[in-house]
Amino acid sequence: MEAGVLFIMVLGLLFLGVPIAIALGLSSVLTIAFFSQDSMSSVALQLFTASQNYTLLAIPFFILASAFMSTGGVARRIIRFAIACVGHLRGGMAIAAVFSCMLFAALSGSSPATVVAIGTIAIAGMRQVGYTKEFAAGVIANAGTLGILIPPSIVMVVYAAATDVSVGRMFLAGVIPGLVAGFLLMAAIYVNARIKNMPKQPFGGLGEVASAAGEAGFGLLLIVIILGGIYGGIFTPTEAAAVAAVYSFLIAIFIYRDMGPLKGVPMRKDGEALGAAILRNVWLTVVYFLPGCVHSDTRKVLVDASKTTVMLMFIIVNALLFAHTLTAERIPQAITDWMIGAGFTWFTFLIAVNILLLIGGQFMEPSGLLLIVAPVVFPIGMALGVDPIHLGIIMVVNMEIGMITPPIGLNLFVTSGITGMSLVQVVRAAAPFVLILFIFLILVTYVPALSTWLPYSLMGPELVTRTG
Amino acid sequence: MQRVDNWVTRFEENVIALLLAAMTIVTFTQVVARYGFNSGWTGALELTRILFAWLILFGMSYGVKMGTHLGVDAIIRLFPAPIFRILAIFGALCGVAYAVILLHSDWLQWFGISTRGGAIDYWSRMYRIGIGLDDLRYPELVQETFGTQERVQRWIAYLILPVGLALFAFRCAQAAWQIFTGKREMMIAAHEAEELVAENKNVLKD
Amino acid sequence: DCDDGEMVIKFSHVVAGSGHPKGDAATLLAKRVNEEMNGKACMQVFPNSQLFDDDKVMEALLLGDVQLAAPSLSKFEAYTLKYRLFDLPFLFNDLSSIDRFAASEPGKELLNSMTDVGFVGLGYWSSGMKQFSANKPLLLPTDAAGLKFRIQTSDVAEAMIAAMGANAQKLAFKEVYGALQTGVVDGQENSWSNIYTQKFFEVQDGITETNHQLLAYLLVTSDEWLNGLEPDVRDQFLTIVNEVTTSANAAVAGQEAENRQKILDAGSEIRVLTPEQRKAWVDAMKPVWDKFRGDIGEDLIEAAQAANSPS
Ligand code: NA
Ligand code: NA
Repeated sequence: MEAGVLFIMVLGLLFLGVPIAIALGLSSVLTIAFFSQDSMSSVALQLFTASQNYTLLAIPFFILASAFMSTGGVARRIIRFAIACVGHLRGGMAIAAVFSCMLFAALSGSSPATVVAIGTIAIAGMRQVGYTKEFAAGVIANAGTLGILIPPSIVMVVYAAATDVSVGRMFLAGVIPGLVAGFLLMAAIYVNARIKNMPKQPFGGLGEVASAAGEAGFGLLLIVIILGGIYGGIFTPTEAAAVAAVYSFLIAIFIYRDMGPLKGVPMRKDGEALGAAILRNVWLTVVYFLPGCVHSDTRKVLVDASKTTVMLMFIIVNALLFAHTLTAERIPQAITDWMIGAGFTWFTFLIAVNILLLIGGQFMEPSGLLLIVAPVVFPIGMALGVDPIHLGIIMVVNMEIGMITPPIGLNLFVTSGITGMSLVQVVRAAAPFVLILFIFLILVTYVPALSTWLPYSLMGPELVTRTG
Repeated sequence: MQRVDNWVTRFEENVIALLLAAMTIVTFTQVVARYGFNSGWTGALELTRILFAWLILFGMSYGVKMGTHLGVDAIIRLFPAPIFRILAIFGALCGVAYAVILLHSDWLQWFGISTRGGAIDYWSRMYRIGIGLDDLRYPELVQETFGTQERVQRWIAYLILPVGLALFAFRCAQAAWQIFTGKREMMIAAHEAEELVAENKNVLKD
Repeated sequence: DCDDGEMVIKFSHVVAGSGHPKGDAATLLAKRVNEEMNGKACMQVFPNSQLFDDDKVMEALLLGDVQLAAPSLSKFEAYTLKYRLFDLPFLFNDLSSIDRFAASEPGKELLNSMTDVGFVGLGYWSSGMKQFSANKPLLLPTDAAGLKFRIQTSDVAEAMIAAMGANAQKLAFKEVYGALQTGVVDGQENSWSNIYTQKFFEVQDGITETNHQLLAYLLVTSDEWLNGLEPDVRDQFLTIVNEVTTSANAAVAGQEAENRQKILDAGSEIRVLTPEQRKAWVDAMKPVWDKFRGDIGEDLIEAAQAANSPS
């Protein structure tokens, strides 16, 4: 009864245009007021507790790192490197666009950021060498979804927070599926390109590969810092995120100089001796360090990142409030008992999860949806013997597909926004590749080893039991 | 009036930017302290988590003002303009109800709903008891100079709860009024990348 | 589910509902209350931090939305410094000491020492004696010099780690395995059951049987709630609580021995200290005792030490 009222209230408010966070929060508050003995004071306590969740603390840092890394130059350098590597293949520009999305995904935790950063440059580039706009937009909208599958990933952090699995294992678990999804997309483009005889670029030579790698290297080093730092035991995932944010700031202001007080100042002037250039740059870094910290560009990135953080976290915090209400009213337990009584097996259960998430993904912001679904689905999955990390990757892949399927798909909106194409055109353009992601979803769902092999061989199995 | 408003916006932005910067710096220096100096500060994690809560609870009202809170607009846009406007006002008023009930819910008893307390009650209990936080302590200099207790009181950290909710209620009420007077279309953003798209709107259009 | 008219008693804790001493004790308590006080009271247990973590549950007790909690003893030094007693290294010799201490007058008084904040202790629930482990053999305190240890932070525990010339690190419990494996921290201290169930032994160079500290919880409620109960209901409830406390504590020793054996069976090394080695540890910890003697009070320390020998 309470469960029914709670879910109907949330959906009703949601469709009446109430902000997602408030639909979740107000439903929880009213449920407590009407059905529960708990005081509103303890709901306030929960609100504060949710706002200081340790695991979620990584989110603002990853958002900040991504904001510094999205300031233009990094995407351009990554694309140059990708073209140097694979541009000479048949369909090379499109393959390079997917490759660029994969690389950028490893710097950024969000999908729309990936679409905008890579899309604005790569779509123009693909069109220049003769691809249709539809094809280019379809490629980017799909490859952009890798932003949440290839670590770091905000959605994975949210899953970890909701279910208490380790962020580090989740990140590692995304690596192989991320590569597989990327290669599936690239392979599809390549086959398509061979059939349709699509253009290829002249090979720029190993010199160009090396030079492009050198330029993109400072940005790509971030992947090494994040993953290497976590698995090398240097820091926890939250600390890794903070280090990534500081590193991205330093790279954006003092190395790439696409923003800040040194904008436009070359690393090496024409004819300048190497030693002199190094000395000059060290001097510049020292002198401009404080101005760089308080520069208006830095402030803008900080404000933008805080805004994004608040927007996401306000939903997440209220979704946690909602999840807490479910738990306090013992609703997940009732659903678990019912599903197990109804004879679900792990196989049919995973189908049900996929369908639930694909439908839910149409209306809900991914992290909010995950936080509502996870407390209900996770205990059932554990009872049926599903691996906690594997379940998480399945959920993430569902979120990815939700982003490129109508009626509501974040990447569709973003792609339509930057290309000026209508939503229907984008949906049609993305459709062939969505099919590939569906095949990929089935693969990920029924081949657990894709997700679990890497984290378990490096970090040992995820333990579900807890003790204090 | 516009100038005051700009000044307030700038102030709000500076606060959230500083909170985020402070969180990042505190966490980063912990890593440096551990590897550079083989030391650490026990209160760092708790401070960072409190700053995080302040960022969210202070920023949520700023989000209402800037229209960044996500919602589903697809269905209400199917309605004719007057009904759309009523629903948009309803959305904003739901925000007011959310914040006001969370602040203080005893008034719901007039309607026969058995509930009590809220953020104000929670905060004032913590204020009365004066218990300290888990790890965060006053520096010894402060303890000696001002004769404070050892641990920073919880009520200081929790102050943002009633304040943030009150600001949120105010901004939602303001939004409802703006929608009513036709100065604003609705309170929600349809998707999380609206601003990002706006900045890059049609950059690739033919 | 609870019937109408029954008083609801919510017990929120952070461990699994079964398989852990605290989870088992909470389940047993709920079973007995629900059977013997049927019609009067109804206890619901929320395990796994479903409702609150150890920090926030104390506030929830004061708000009256949770009636029972059992946080680790070291949480309570925030309310009265006397609870630093339990963090003193090498205070109790073995698990049975805590029951004798609880029966003593100072032990009972300590349960009621937080009424000014609004809490009442109902009993000490033990979970095991703590052992040290690290990524190298630890036989003397000096072996730990320069290593990073994950501890449950308290001032006393930090002083203890400092007395070993090592560094204390705060880490969430679920991060510990990964942190030990990758070297974020070098060592940890915990009960046999925690070391076994969390597989810490897999990523450490053996365990040293130091028995240096009691890992225990305080079953706690709010003063306001307890005093608001009808006297006969309160008496019946407290009687059940005391019986469950005694039987749960008695079961812990067996579980600990079992998990210790499982660690051995898994091929890990357990190092037992010689009397001389143990004395070196005790001596190294003297400054820790001296530092906190004033906070705790001599009478409590004496009562605790007296509890070491069966009277
Ligand atoms: Na990513
Ligand atoms: Na969708």
